[in-house]
Amino acid sequence: MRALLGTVLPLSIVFCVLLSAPASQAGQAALPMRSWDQILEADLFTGFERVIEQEAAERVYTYFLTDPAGTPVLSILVALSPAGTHLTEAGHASATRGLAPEVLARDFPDFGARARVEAPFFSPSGGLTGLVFTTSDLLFDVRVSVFEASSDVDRPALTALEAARIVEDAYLATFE
Amino acid sequence: MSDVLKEYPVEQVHRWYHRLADAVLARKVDGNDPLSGQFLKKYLENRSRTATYTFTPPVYFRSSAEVVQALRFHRRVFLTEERARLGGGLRWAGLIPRLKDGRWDGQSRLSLHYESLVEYGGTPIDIARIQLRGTPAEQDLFTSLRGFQLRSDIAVTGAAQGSQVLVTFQSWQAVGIDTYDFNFDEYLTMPNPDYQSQDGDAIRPDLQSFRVFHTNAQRMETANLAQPYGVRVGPWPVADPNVTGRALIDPNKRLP
Repeated sequence: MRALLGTVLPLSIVFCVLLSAPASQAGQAALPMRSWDQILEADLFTGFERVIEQEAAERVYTYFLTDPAGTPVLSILVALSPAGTHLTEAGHASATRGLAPEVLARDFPDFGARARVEAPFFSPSGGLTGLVFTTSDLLFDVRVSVFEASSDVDRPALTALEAARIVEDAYLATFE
Repeated sequence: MSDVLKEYPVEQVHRWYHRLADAVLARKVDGNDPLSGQFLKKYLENRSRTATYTFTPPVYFRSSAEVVQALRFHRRVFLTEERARLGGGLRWAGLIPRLKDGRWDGQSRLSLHYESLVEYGGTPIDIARIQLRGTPAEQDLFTSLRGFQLRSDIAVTGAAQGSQVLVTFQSWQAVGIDTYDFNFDEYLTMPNPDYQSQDGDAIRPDLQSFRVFHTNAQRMETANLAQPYGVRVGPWPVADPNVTGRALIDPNKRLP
């Protein structure tokens, strides 16, 4: 398949969805997990191949962008869990209290209901950025991680924040 | 997307990279400064292209599954249980060929070394696992030492035991070896450490992130504000009994 994609497209993109356990009762009641599959498939990266697996606790969508040789150059991971799994209102308030505005903007960006930056790491060969946020409707915690290998291959300019924005926008659009 | 840093004087770009390193170093990894931040800082401080710097190997590096697996592989190579990867091929190495050709008498102290490539996140599945389940320590190793040479320097003695030789590892030192350098043709996207900064030296504080073209590393190197260098993480003494435990070898083992 990778060879086929490499032939048809300048870049092959493999979209893996690793599914885990049932989400929060609140999340399930508000939006079945299957709908998340539709949100991401329809709106996030159109045309990507998607593979679904189901295991335990978390619902995880991983996108790989590889160069024609099959080397990963971009990996976007989106993990869904019930709100409160990674962020709580009280914890967020405590962590952000007294921070300088630029530190607040850098480490706890104004995003969704609340958000926290989890990385970054930087090296000549690649960078890793991470963000966890609670959806604006307070139903889900969404963990987004973006690994980008240094490369000259044309690709979207994304950090975890931009990827999270795409996810949040797609999610909110389902309620419009 | 345009090269934001290109528009700024190289000295200011150099200071921006320092702030990027500070942003990485702001988050401790198991109580340590992350290697990725330490490496970048050293690059920005280095002025000699021939320099090699030694970094203290954090426990999370020494005990990482990849390093432990590589050391166990080294043991099998030294004991001639598995072929060594040498010169692009596989061939028998270690103690038994030396017993066969007389380079070792099976008793006296013998020093050997071997090194092999270690990779963190070698496959897309590995990368996804590190992103999803990886600890900050794993993520730091993945981005700082994604692929490096692990070298083992050992000393052994032997004692006859029937037709076999009982091998004792008298010492075992390991060190991670890499080069910190940039491919100037490449780029990646990073968060802007100056986002919303009020400092007059800040670069594009209106942007949360932008593409970092490694041509800017080239600019810094040309201005001798930074230079590539050799990396040595360690050495450290290996104490894992699964690596350094005694072993029996058969001098007459056939080596097809």
